[in-house]
Amino acid sequence: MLIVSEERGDDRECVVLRAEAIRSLLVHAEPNMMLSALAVLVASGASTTKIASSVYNTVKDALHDLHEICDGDLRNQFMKIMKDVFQRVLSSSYIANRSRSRLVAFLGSDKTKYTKEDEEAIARHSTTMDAAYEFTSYYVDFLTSLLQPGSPHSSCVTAIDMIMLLCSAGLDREIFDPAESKRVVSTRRVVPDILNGNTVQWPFQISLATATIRQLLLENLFNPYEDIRKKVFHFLQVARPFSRLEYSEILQILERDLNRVSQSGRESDVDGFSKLVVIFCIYSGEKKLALPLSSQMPLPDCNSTHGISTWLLNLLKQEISSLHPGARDLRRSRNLILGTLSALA
Amino acid sequence: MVDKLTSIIARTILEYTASANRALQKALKDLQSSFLTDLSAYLSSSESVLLESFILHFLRVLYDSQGKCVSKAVFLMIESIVREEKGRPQLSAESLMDLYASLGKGSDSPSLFEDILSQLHHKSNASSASKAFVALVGRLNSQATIPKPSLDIWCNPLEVFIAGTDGRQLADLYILPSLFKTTGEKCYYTVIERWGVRRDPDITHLEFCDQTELQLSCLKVGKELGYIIGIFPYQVKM
Repeated sequence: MLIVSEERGDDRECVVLRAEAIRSLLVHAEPNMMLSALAVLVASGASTTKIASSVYNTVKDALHDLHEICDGDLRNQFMKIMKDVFQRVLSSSYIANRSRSRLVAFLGSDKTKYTKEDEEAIARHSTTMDAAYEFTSYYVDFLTSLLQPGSPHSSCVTAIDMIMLLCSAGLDREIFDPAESKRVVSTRRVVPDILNGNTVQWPFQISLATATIRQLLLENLFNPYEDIRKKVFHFLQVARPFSRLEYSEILQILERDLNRVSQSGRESDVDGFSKLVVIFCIYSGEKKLALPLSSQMPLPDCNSTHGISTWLLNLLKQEISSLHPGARDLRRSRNLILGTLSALA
Repeated sequence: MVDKLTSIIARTILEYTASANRALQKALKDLQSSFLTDLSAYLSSSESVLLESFILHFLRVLYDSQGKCVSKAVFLMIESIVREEKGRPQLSAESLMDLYASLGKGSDSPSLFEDILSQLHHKSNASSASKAFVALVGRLNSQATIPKPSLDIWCNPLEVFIAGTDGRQLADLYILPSLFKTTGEKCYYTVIERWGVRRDPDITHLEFCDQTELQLSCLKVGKELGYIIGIFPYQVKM
């Protein structure tokens, strides 16, 4: 039997469900049960209702188990619930920020004139915003940890989807601004829009293109699972977290990953390299940048996307011309040719 | 002559709704609604048999379906005949159920609620069937003088449906939110208590049982509708 506590308000009865009461269900062995409990915990009639700190803490404790759900349908359900959660985080923090700003503007800068109620109201709005920021920041760090090599497939997939979701919500406007989504995503809506056409903006920003996240995304471009590689590729195409990269960094990445292909020759690495080249082609084409010369792999005088393909073609010619029956490192050349051809395709 | 015309219109609506495009579906729905309005004008007179005859055409399709997918027009008819609308008298939910029960042969008395719910398993009908179910329950609740028996009439079939394959998920998706919104807070508390949610001011933990998932679904709907609240210092129900 399920029990909810009943409390009496000032003038009428109200039924209250405590966040603590549902904690045990969030670590249930059945994923269905976990998701139902999470849905109850975060459900609200209005998306602007603030989320209590006890709810944040309860969700935080259950995040690890929730991200390990393997079933695809259940994972979609989880994504939907988390979308609602962040809709509330966004809306409530936006409202709190706006109310606080209006109150402060109305009261003026002289804090000695503030009444006790004013101070309490300002503190309440600040607490709402701080709690929202703290939870979102914690969640982004948590997602970053799930991108580490060796993470289970389900955790990694969910983490990439969630990063895309937060990105589409404009949590890091430097890499994706929903207001400009039509310009960025020209022909089709690639990223699900958490804001549902709303122009509400986060009162705070959290970077989704830190060096760690970028590094981990690139690593996952070479993930053994094809769906993860596709997801990362899709994300990198849309969100462009590499817009802050220096030229030398791009070159380093290309060289490093080409070496990876030439050494392993795995299908996943070849596929990852071709995707990486496409991403940098798009990026360099947009920025109209030319790739610098490399000491080991000389580049022609090239510009933008044409430059990368010319570079690859030259590399291919160079490798093919070095092939002869007595060549010492045939395997390396074969892998390199395979990777280059795949990237050119 | 009028009876024949009624029959033709009913058959036309039933036959074409399933395969019609959106525009034709809307036109057929409007035709059905207008025709019901016109026929309802005869309710108090001796010609009310015309309305019953028209409705029976649709109900018979549902009765004969044996769980197979039926035309959406059946549910649109149920929904519009019981929906309160200014300017025309409605058929009571009890009358509609009696009419449906009259289709049974011998001692077999079919349940309209059960047969509507069985159609939720067909994806194309799930939305319309759930709307018809909720409209019927809403009408029944607004008419019933004794709440308990009326609750059994729709709650028992719903419980059977939920216990069946995919029943909880379908009920969760299509029935519960609109049902509790229509029936109101009091009915919500009655139903969740019937389904095992106990209210106790001193206990702050949840206990498990076979129905926990259903109970959680109900609690979620309750929170969304504002019947149940989280424990925030300032979030007091007004």
